[in-house]
Amino acid sequence: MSRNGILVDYQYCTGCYSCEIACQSEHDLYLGQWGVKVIENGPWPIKDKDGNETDQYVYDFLPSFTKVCDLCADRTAKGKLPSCVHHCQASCLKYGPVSELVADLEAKPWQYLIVPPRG
Amino acid sequence: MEITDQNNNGQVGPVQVLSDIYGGLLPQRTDVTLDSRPIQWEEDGYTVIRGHARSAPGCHNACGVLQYVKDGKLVKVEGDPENPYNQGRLCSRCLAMTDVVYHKDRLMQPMKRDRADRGRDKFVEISWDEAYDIIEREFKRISATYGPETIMMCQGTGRDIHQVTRLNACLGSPNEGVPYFAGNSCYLPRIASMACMLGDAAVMDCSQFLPLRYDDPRYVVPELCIVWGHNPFYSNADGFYGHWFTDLMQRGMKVAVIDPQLTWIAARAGENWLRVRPGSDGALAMAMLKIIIEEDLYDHEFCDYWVYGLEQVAERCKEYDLEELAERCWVPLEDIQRVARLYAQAKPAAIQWGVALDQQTGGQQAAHAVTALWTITGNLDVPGGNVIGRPCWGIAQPNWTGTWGYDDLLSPEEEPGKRMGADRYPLFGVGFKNLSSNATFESWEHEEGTPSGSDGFYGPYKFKAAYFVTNNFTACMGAQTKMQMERWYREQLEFIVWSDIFMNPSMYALADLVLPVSTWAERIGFGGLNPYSISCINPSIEPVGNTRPDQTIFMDLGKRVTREGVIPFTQGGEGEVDLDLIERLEKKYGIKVDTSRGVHYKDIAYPWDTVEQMWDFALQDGGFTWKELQNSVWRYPDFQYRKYETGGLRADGQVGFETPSGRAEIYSLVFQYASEHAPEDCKLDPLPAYVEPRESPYSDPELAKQFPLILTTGARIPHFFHSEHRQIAKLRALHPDPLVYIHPDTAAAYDIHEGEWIWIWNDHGKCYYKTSFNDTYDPRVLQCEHAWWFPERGPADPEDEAGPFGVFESNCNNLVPLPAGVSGFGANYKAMVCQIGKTEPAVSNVPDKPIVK
Repeated sequence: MSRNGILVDYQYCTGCYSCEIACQSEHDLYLGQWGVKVIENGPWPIKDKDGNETDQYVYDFLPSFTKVCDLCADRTAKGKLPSCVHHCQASCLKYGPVSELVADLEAKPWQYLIVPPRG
Repeated sequence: MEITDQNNNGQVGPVQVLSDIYGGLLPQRTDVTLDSRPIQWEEDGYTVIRGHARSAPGCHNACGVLQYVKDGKLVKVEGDPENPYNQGRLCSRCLAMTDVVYHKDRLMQPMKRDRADRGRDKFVEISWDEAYDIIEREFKRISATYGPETIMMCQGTGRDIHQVTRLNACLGSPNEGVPYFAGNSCYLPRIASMACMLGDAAVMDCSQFLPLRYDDPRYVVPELCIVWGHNPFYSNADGFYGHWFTDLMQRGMKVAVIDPQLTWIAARAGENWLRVRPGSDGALAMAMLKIIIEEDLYDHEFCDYWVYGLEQVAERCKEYDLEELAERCWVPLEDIQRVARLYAQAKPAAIQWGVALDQQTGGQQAAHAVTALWTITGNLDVPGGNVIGRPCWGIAQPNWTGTWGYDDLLSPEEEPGKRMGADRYPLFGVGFKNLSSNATFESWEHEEGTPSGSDGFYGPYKFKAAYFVTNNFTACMGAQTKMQMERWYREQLEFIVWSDIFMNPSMYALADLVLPVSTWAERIGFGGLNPYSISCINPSIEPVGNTRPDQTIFMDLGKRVTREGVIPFTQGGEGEVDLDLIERLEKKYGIKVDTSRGVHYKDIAYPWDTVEQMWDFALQDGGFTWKELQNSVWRYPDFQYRKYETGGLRADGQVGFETPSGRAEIYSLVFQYASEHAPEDCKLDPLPAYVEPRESPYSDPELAKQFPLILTTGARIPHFFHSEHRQIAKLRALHPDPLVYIHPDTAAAYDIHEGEWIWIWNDHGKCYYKTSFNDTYDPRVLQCEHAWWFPERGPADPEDEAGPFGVFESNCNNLVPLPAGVSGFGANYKAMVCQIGKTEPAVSNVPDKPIVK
């Protein structure tokens, strides 16, 4: 059986945190437990080699999937998407077989592929 | 629908023009798009019910939802993937909806409290019948003693409670609005400018008018969008779903961003992020306008055919110096030039703006300049530009703009005759039927019993009673709210009724009567707060506890409090009877009128037995019933671009715009006409201009020496709708504390470490926030989050300075000056001078005498 994963296009993750709450609600997790947690990086200006601030900035949000994530096995068995993917407001999460997502990963920068251990 | 506006007496001019904006449109019943899929099904032991999220709790959107129900309980809410609006997506607030519906602190039973005990823990649970009896008794007493106009309906933002306007109308009061919100500083300044200039309001086109969305062949992705004072992903304001932006960026749209804050989207704009000084957006807009006109970058053909006033605007621009404008807004001139040129040359290009434009002294004038930008570049009503939206089938008053029933239940002597501020500020007089907040401020300070203006304050009367429909103004909206609460609302109102889903600090401080209301999952209704579609609010569960939907309450109360008597202008008698009007009312309400008797208020105020019948009436211009809407979930009327070319905008069917000149007026004849009879200090400029904020480093340099920093506010948090959701543990965990964002260099100068709590103050008041360092702000600027209170701290007696639930403590609105701009719109919520420090300053949040103008 092929492994499944989630491809994150973090060029477009806006930090809305829908994935976190979708997961907590779907799996009825205790407060302080996450299947996916969004990590904030920035905002900060990129400095040039002389230490001067440029007009380019880093402000990224990185959904980080945990051991709790089972890629919503109950949902996917019924042909539904994992709840985080279904509700992702920026449409920047894609679920599928790793072999297919790797091709997508190749096609565009600013992405990463997550394969949770229970997926 | 026939164009009938009894309030303008048939007169042609600005009144006519503006009254047509939200009504009087020919229904477009052709080519309606329906959703034909099932509205309900069984799935794994759940019943799944499709519908839309609206309010309560608050939201400006109408996202499609799937409600999963088991054993009569709402178990979870998912996004409806086949809804064109949100396309399956949902934000954290809807995803935590069951935590709201079944929260232990939800209000479940009506309560009363003696007026003498306002602010104290003395609420007593009562029945709905007793609650209604008290309201009926008090509204009737106050109406008889002081006049019905002294009873006002107060709202928060964007709730689906605009039907309450019918309730104040049936009493005989034209007063509904946000009387604590200085300058009515949310969307009205922008709406007013657009409506006067264009005859309509425009919004960025993200294909939201088209049910096929991005796949509709008519749609064009904008090459560029300027995001102006707006963080769409976190605010989702005014029926605009923020993540349409990521959809368009993924389809190739570039962005430029004008914001003091490096938002996520500003980081994507890179060099085209213009870090404007808070409150100086008008300077930036005037500079862009000047560049586009003087570099000949505007759309000549569009201007020749469709624009009025280009020469006058060009003359006005000559009065400004680009270097000075750039210096004023703290943006390098070369950056302004680059963005102005990019915008003018991109086809199509859009501007999507936010509430920041409204929350400054010159907000209305800035909005005028921005509207001129998209007009002269030919981006008006074209695919991918800024398109004119009109209420679907003309249905707007009950679900969107309010004033429902005003046309039929209020005479011209009452509306606008008795509306607070309509005769003070021309823009409130000609088109926008909210009460004016700043006129209200003056009325509180006016000496009762003396003629209006005799002591320098406008004051035809004072308000005596209020019905707050799901509002929390001491946390949000209110400026200097502790003063307002103590000096005005607590002392001067004789009766206060309040509805909401949770006890909030404003309600705790003031309510004599508390009404617990149902959420959107527990009631029927229709949305939305937008001109794209009509959507069904479809209940999945019975009202929780002993709650009732707001709309049920309005109808129940309306049947009790509607005034007695015959509507004067429908009464039989010599020369009095208006047969056309009677015929219209007969048709509209399905009644038969004895013309010798006339129409009684009670004949038409609430002639329905059920809320569903009320909605059938409200939807009749669409040609469908509520049940038919429920079965189709949503309905989109046909949408057309370039309506000015086809006669789609004008009541007379001619091409052009619904303005006095028939053109898009960047020189506004409506502003000119409306000002002719206005008080000297309220005259409007028919041309765009830059107006410096009050109390700024430029308008008051001496004050700025004492308060050298600029405080902007309102940085949005995606998990909370303004002051709501603070008690939802799952959401609060994501953002536990009120933050002020500060540049680390500024913090270092004050010996402040990251995470330390600091005081921020000016002459008007002080507030207390936790610091979060951010080196992308201008070091002279700080930004506070707004609308904080702390449910976990519990209520407090009136003697506690922090107020109930600590509402006055981390409250940046304590610093907001009350006066508005000349239009009556725009107060400096986002541009205040301030000082900071680690020790509590000796500043009171309750001044001895408020400065109201």
